[in-house]
Amino acid sequence: MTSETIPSMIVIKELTKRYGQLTAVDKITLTVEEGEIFGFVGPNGAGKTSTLRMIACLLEPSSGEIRVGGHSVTNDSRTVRRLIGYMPDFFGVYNDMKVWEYLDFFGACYAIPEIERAQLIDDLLELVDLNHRREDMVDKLSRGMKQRLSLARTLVHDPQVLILDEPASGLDPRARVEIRELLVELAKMGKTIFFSTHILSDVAEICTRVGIIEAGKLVAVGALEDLQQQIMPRRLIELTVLGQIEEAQSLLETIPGVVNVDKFQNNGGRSRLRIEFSGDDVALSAALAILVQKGIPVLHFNESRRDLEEVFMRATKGLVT
Amino acid sequence: MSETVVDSAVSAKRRPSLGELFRRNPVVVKEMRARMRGNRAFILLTVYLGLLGLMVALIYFAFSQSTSAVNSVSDRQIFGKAIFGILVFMQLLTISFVSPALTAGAISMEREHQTYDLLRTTLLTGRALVMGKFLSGLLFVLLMLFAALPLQSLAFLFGGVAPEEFIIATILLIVSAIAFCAAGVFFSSFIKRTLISTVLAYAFAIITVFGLPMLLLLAFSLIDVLFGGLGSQISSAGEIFLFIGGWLLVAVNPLATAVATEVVLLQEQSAFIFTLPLPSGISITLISPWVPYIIFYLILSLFMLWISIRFVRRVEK
Repeated sequence: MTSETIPSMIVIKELTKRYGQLTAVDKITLTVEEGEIFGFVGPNGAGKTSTLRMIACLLEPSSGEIRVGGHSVTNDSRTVRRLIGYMPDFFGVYNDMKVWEYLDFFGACYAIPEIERAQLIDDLLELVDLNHRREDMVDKLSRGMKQRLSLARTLVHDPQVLILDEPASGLDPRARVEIRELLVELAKMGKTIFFSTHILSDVAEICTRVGIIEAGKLVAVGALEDLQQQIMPRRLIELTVLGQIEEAQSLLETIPGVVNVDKFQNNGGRSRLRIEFSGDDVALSAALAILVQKGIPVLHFNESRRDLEEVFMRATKGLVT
Repeated sequence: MSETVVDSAVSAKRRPSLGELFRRNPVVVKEMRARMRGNRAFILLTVYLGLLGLMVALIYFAFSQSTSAVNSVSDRQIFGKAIFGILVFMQLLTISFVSPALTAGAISMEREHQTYDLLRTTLLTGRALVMGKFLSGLLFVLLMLFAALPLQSLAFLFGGVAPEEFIIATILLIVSAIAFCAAGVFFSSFIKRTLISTVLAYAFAIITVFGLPMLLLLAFSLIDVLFGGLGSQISSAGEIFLFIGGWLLVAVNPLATAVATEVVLLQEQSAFIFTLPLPSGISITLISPWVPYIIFYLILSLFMLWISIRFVRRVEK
């Protein structure tokens, strides 16, 4: 099988980090495949940053093992550092530096020859849409721009893996969308992205898989849909109909998989129903087909966004180390 | 095809120039860019040279007022020596005040600005980081020293200063700059806060320049007491031991070293070795103090830089 011939990009085994009495990361085991966007979700203080710093060779694990591209983080850190681009959850500012100099400096730190750097800086600034700020001082940039510049910095040596700590935190909605689009673009370029966040919508929109961490322990890993199925066997569906609300409700109650139906809002002729549903995707689409067949005027049929938060709330217990 | 291979092999073996070596260190390039940006460096150099020039002008004024025979060669030589000596002293002061300011934040500032982690995830080696910080500080101090050369050359106009004196003084200044810059980087490599690191780097410079002479004074007065009161009782071996100890103490202080070297140059006409007759009648041969001074401070600097590299390389536990 191909999964045997191509080793996983990031392999974490029994990773533990203790600070004195406190266990910040507790026997985490997980793998991330090449080209994945892996979202590492957890409340503040759950151990996300510690884990990311250990992958980035900045922090020594108390026990356990991390391999990136098959290389050990502890024994072969130089190779690993070549493979990864790390973006911390803060922006390291040099006051006395222009935007292009910032990238030039980090390019030089990755031993990229001086002749290649000029073109590289142009390409990177174009990618993150900062070409027009090339000659500006770094500390004059807005937060969103700094974050994009920071992302450009992590790409300077064309790493295969990006380790991003809260890449979207503290940004306004537009800047957040921009960062998210950039990440998707980078994944299309074949990069493996491992990022931490506590913003659930980020995870829902771009991640191929998610790991939920709480109090140093990995409480759930998998594709978001699988997690939803696992943690919440009942999905919450919102249905908006134009009239025939009673018929819709009684019809729904006969469909297999429907556990409960609530009418919960009525405005301007539109009626909304909330359905608890225990079936899979096939059963769900069949349910919709039945409604349409029977002539119910369905305006809107979707899985509730609050579901994601429910998954998170149910997976975690509100513990903080 | 094979020719190009040979070519590249040859070019790889070619020794890079000093400039290339500096350019290859990203930290040096970055620090120099930042340091020379705007007019800060220009103003600093101008004020520094202005002060030195003012000193020279004052000495000149004092001399031309007090000495009736400025035309006599010996007077002019005294004037030349005065300019030279005072400028060297001023430069030593400058080095001891500027070096810590330039280097004591080298690593700790990276920590405070949260750029330290960024650097440590790159391929930049601990050695390149420490040496880059050290060299960029040192280069600026050297720039200040060399910028004052035209003023120094006034001393030659009046005579009285031998080339050896000038060369030895320059070497002493450069070695002192190396030591003070290395100390700044050293403190900032393991002390988290720049403020504390700066205080310690200044303490190092001030103790080296001013603290040690006081220690010397104490040591010599002790020797004096020993020879004054118990001189007759001390064995000749003990006497030699005391003198060598005193001589070593002289060689750890730049001011004492400069003065003692000058005395040896004038009285013994030697820049390297001199013979010292002891009170008991035995003579011992000693090396002029500037030689052990540079050996001591170069070794100390290398040691401090080595320790700094070890601190910087360390992975956080």
